Amino acid sequence: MLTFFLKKLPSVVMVAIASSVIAFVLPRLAPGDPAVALAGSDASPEQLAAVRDQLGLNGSLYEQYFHWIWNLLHGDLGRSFAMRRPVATLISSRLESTIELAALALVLMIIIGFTLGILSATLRNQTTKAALDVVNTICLATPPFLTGLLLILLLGIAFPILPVSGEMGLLRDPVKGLQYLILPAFALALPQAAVVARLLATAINSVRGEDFIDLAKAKGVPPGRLMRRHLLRNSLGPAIVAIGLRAGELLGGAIVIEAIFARNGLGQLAVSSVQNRDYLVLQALILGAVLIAVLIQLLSEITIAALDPRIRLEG
Amino acid sequence: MTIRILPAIRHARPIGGMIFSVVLAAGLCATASVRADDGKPVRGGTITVSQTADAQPRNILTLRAGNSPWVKNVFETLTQTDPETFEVKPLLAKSWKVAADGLSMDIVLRDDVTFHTGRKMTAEDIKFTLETMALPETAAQVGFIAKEFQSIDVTSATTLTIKFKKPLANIFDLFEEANVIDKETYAKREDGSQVIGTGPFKFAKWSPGASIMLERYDSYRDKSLPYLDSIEFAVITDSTASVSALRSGRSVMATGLSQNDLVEFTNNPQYQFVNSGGTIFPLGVNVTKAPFDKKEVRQALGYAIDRQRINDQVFGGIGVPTDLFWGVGSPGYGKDQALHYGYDPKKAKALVEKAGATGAKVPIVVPSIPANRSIFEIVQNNLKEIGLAPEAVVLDVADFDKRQVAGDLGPAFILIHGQVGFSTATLLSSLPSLRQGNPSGFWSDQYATLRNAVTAANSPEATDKAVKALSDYMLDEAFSLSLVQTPGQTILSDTVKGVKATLRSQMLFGQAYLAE
Amino acid sequence: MTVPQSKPMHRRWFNPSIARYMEAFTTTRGIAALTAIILISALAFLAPVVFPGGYDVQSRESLRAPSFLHFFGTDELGRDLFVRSIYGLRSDLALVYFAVPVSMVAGTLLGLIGAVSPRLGSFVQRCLDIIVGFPGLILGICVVLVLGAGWTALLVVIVVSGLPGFGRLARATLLSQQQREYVIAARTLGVGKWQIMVRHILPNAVDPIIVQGAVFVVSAIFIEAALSIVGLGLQPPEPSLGTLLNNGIRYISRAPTYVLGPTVILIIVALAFSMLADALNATVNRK
Repeated sequence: MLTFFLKKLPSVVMVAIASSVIAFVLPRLAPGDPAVALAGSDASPEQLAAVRDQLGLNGSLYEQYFHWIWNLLHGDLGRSFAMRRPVATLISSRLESTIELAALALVLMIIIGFTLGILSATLRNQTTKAALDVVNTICLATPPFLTGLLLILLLGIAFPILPVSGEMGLLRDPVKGLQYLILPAFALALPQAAVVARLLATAINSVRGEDFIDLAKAKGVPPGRLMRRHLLRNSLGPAIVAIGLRAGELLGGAIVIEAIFARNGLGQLAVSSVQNRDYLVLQALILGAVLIAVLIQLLSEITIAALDPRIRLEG
Repeated sequence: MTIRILPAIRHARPIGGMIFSVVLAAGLCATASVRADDGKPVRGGTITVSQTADAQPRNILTLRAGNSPWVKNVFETLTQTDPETFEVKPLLAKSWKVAADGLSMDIVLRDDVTFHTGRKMTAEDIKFTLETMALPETAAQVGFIAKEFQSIDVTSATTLTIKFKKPLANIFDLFEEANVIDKETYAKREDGSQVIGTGPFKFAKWSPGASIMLERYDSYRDKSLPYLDSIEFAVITDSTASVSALRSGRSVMATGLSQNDLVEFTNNPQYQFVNSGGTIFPLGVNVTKAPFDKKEVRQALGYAIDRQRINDQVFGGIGVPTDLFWGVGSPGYGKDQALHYGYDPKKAKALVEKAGATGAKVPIVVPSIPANRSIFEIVQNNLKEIGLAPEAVVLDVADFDKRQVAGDLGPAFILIHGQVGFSTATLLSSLPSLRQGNPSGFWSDQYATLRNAVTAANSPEATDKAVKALSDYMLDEAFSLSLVQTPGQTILSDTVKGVKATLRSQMLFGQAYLAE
Repeated sequence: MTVPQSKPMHRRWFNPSIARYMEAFTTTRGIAALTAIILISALAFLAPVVFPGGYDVQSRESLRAPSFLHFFGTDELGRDLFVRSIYGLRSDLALVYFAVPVSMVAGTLLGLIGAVSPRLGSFVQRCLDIIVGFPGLILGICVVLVLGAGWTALLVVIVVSGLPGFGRLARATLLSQQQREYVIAARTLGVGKWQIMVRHILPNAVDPIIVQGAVFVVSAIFIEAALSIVGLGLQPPEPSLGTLLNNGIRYISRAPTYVLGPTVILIIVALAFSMLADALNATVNRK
């Protein structure tokens, strides 16, 4: 496994460098700058220039980039232009909201995905199976924000049971926090759960055709045990990979979900730092996200290998 | 239940993270003390107020949506204008006297004022504050007034004399915004670690993007005030979320909401509205670019636009469709002038034809703000009716703001100014649409002369005459057409009493208390 | 990147394939998907004929409830929401029908570039990794800010977002085919790199790419909608399903059909294309 990592290292480093450049350049290509957000739309050109000067935005791009990278390597993400706080502090203050959302969505995704997957692999009744298939297709095709809007219409407007916007930290008030969390997490989890379900069902069906299952059946292993010990265990690989990859997508999908449910997480921080051209915050978020995505990719490759000895890790 | 004295206007940009300034005019717009105080004030308690924009402790001396709800509780000013009578009342200043020639002013300060650090406030702090207002990096909307000072002489710990370069009719516009800052800690305000003022509440904590916490200042000079122990200002960028926080009782007051979200509270006796502050939405054109280099075409725009429909459909009828930028009912606000351009598409079409501009392409720059987008939809529909070919250029707010500051917005643009209100003399220099270097590229000797007449006017009658003359000229030139002025609305639950607001819609909680 | 020899090759392998894909439309799912897509597209593209008044007929009848006159009610400016939804669908489909094929072709070429130069191939893959890693919408938002909101920006964003999916699939085919005997044989016979790529590897990549194409149509429509929800979609007054949703959210408690109408249309479109992808996938796998 170590050699696998070593082999991957150069390309990971390259991706990191390239994305640091993109994360640095792309927001700066957009018209507007952080000084406008501070000086306001009513400022005179003279006032704007003075604010720019104060923020140190007048240095050359090279200087700014290498200054940023240098600090980054020393563990300093810099300070937000708009909020005048260290970027690390800002990000960690928003982390709870997004992690709670993604974690609950992950749990829901696993529960719903496995239930649907196992059901559709074991059901014998053709009608229910077809119905399940239709449900699955609909879930798969509907993206989180549409599910979110439908849930808002249903549970927020038609039958106002749950709060549809805002949030409350789980640590601060678990019951209320969960009420705020459940709809967005569900919306986020549903399409991903459908993917997991589908993969799991396909995997179970293909494992079912293998000889050792027939053997187990012949030995008289009861169906429940057969499912748990033999079918499920050998079908987990693709499902776990899917879950790993989907976990990354959960974070991405969180941006729109946070906008719709008015949650104040990392996604909203990213959107507001684009709007304020808060370069340093945005750079940290983009770089972080790319590295996490790369890491997830590597981890899922390792997981597949660990689950299935037939696969060897290759560089 | 709605208290509406004048449609003073404050603005609500519903998208979080957008920052803009709110400037209101002295003597024009009004806020009201909210509901007659019933019962005896009680000490103690904590309330939560929701606001849609985040605080900006860096910009204490600039009017900002995210600062308006809390800033006047931490900071105080030399004078404060009564929103009902428009009378300028002393606050940190005990008294003042303007010289007969109007070129200097003597100010006597209270001697019992302390900063939250415990230090006594002196005339040096006032001098520092006014000098800081004039610095360009402060970016204060009214900073230009402080630039007209010849000198500020501190004559004792509690007295100072200000000398002006020319008579300043709008000096109180400056005082009203000049929150007195502590010379020793001002540099540390930016990240919210030391936001030190003299007000009844101390700035305790800022969690960027989430909340601001104020705590009672126990050594306030009036020992009985404030009544509340602390106030939390929750930043809830989404208007709908603010409403649900209000409904669930999590907050007792919501500022910066959109009209759509307020509809459901209009007939609920448990809530009341404070209309205060406000926003002007003008359609401007660049007089150096075709087809707007022709006056007929500009005037045609005036007749083409259905302002009433904009007010009804975009703002739910709460605004005032008007051709003027000045506060509704302010000195010189001509009622017939406000309706100079009635909706008359036939006349507009004829004017466009006469100018030979039929079929002309008109790119209109619009900031990506819901209200502006909706206004654009009506405007483009109206312009098609008169034979022009409008097209949208929607810019995101940072891009838009930068171009507005530079005065570079192309042939036509729909702007948003959260500035209803300052005295007309101030607006002429603070409104990007009207100031020198405006995006319309408009300036003429006559315009300069008429503007100077307004700034120089020193009696209500003279102001009335000068403003009306200027309005006539501006309406004829039609380089920037005000479409509608809308009030910002603050909604308040009846569990909290004694909340007041300043002329410019900043909230005052010094005398607020929880109902039993 | 034009390949002169590719034309005749193209014809040879592509024609039978079309017949092969037609099999997908013999299943219930396939027929349903195809019918739905044809109907939806016809309705959308015939909108100017069916509703000659256009999408911008404003009136004072704001936010009316659904009626026989207005199936989905009216918006805040008194415009018929059904008409706007259909025109919105038209914008979305036009966008997707143009951008998805472009993304498919570009992504496939990028994925196969490794056949010509292995180094370039893995470099391209790393670039695609970066695109995948970009947090959610942020890449799209930045691109729109740089290019200015409108059709061009949306097209670019959709094409770019599709690249990693197509590129990775093509790359996977490349890696699996490259070691096959016939490719090695061709190489030793001195067949040019480009020719190997086009004649031997490309045909094998076509199946998964086509299925992915149908899947990506759904993503593309949602990219449009998501960008519009953050206010960076098409320019007003031109409607798209996303801008309708974006405006509708503001009136969600007063006029629920404002959001419901476009949502339902979006779900129908998404379903039709996912069913198409399923049907194609089943046919392709049967081979």
